[in-house]
Amino acid sequence: MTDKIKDIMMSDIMTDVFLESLRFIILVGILFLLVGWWRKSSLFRFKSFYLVFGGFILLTIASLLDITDNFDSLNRYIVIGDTEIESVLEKVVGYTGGFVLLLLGFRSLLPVFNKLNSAEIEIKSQQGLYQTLFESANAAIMLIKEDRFINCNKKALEMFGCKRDQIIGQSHKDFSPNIQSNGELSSEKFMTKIAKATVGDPQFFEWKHKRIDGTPFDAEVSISAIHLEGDATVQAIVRDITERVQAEKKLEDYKNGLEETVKERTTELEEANKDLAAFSYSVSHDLRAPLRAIDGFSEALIEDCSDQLDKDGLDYLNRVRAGAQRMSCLIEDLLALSRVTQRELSVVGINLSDIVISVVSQLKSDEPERQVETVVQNNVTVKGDTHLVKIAIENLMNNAWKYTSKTKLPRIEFGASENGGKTVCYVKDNGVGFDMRYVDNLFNPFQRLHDADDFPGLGVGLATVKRITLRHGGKIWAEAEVDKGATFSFVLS
Amino acid sequence: MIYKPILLVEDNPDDVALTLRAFEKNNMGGKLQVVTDGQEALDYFFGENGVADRGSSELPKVILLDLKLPKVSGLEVLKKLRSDQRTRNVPIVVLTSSSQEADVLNSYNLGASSYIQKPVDYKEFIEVVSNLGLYWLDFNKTL
Repeated sequence: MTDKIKDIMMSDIMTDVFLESLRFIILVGILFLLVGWWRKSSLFRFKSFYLVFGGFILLTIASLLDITDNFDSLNRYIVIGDTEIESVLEKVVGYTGGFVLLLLGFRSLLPVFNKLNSAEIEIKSQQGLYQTLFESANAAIMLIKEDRFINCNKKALEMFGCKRDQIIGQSHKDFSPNIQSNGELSSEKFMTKIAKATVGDPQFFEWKHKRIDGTPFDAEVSISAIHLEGDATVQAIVRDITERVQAEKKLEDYKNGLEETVKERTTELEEANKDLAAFSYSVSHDLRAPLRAIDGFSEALIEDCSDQLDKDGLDYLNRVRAGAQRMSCLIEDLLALSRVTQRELSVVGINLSDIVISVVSQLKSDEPERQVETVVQNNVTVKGDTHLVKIAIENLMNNAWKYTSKTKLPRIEFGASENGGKTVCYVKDNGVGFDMRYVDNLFNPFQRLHDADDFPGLGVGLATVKRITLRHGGKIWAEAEVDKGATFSFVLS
Repeated sequence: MIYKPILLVEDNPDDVALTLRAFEKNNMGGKLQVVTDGQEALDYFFGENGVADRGSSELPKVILLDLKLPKVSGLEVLKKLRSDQRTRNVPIVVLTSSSQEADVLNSYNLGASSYIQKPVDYKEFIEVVSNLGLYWLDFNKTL
């Protein structure tokens, strides 16, 4: 070989050495990167990563051996220089083995990379989702660390009427009045709640907040401890419940108003009852004395001066007396009606049939000459005030007795039927009946559908019965036909 | 027999006249003494020269007591008469217009011997007075 050729060869060798060294340096760099990455990332969890790492180590060793074959002086060492063993180590073990390991490693790592990649995408999209959830929540969400707000969502800004920089770094004190609605100090209550939440006991409570402009509002606060990057942080979720509180207050006011009204009405009712009682008392005592005078002195006149009176005069005096006595009966009935209203109910179980039977026997003994067929269903029981129910039965039976007095084969029936869980009792007669057109008048006091000459009476009886059924929470109704009879049905609740 | 009157406590002059007349009709007119209000009734017994001071022999045979009276009510008179040792045993018949349950109940609770509602019908009234006289003056045994 000429020197020139030698020179050329030398320069080629130097180029080789340079390039091969560069390759070696690059591979070492890659190894360093891998080691660094290894420590930080979680890739070392995968076995294939070791294949890749081993692959690069072999390549690095191979490239280091590769450099040595440029120097003939090294040939005397077996494993380096331009020797066969070096060649086998470099080409077969280093490069081939390295590439095989890399191939195997990357092949099994590829799906992991793919996975990692999609996980990263997912994390990103999750972050976006959580960010959206956080920002678009319909409640103010705030993070508090050491009594200062460190983060909040848009709703919080909207709720407190401020900008982000006006709330971040501020204390809750700037957004609460000094004293809560129940008189507690805001700071004390807040500290207690935070302390509880911090030890893992989430708190839920009502709180008076104030906006940045100072206007207070009612809120519902839920606080719980969360751990962010190892720091103890409290998350507060705040809802504006002004409307609810106002509605509650309205309801409360309404309730109070209602109670007040009930109280007023009750007082009025009590007054009215007292008046009525006083009125009845006065009627009972005072109204009858003049009637007695009218009747008594008329009678005295008849007795003492009848010789001075002609037939007409005597007739007039008798009419005066009859009027006075009739008025006395009216007063008596009115008082009876008012007693029905005023009497306190004492409700017990009553056997109506027994009452009916005793009333019937009384009627029969009063007028033994009358032949009336009576049919009484046995053991009809109701719940009611014995005294009042008896008055009602007496009135109904008296009416049936009275209005069958002109009937040929008089018949009076008492019975009951079940209707919707209620006992409907009835008194049915085949007497004169009445025209159903006037049924509405029937139960009003002093309303009569018959001539007093035919059937004496004042028209208070059915009004009294109606009052009694009403007082029991029940009702009474009638069905009748002229000359065919009448049926009075009633329910005591 | 010692003369023992019937005491009528009644403020209404009409009723007094009618009662007197009814007593006369039954030939007992002379025995009726009348006071016209509750205070007078109490004075009759416990006032100066009151009968109670003079001994039981001068107590009326029976007292006919109206309930609605000026000054002191009939029930009050009843109570006072019943709570005094000297008058507690005198028969007292409440004779009144009222048929109110409360009046009847209170009268008996305070120790009335009888309760009679004055009928408006004068014929009935005379009958009542006749029975009253018969029962309380003739049949009833008192101390």
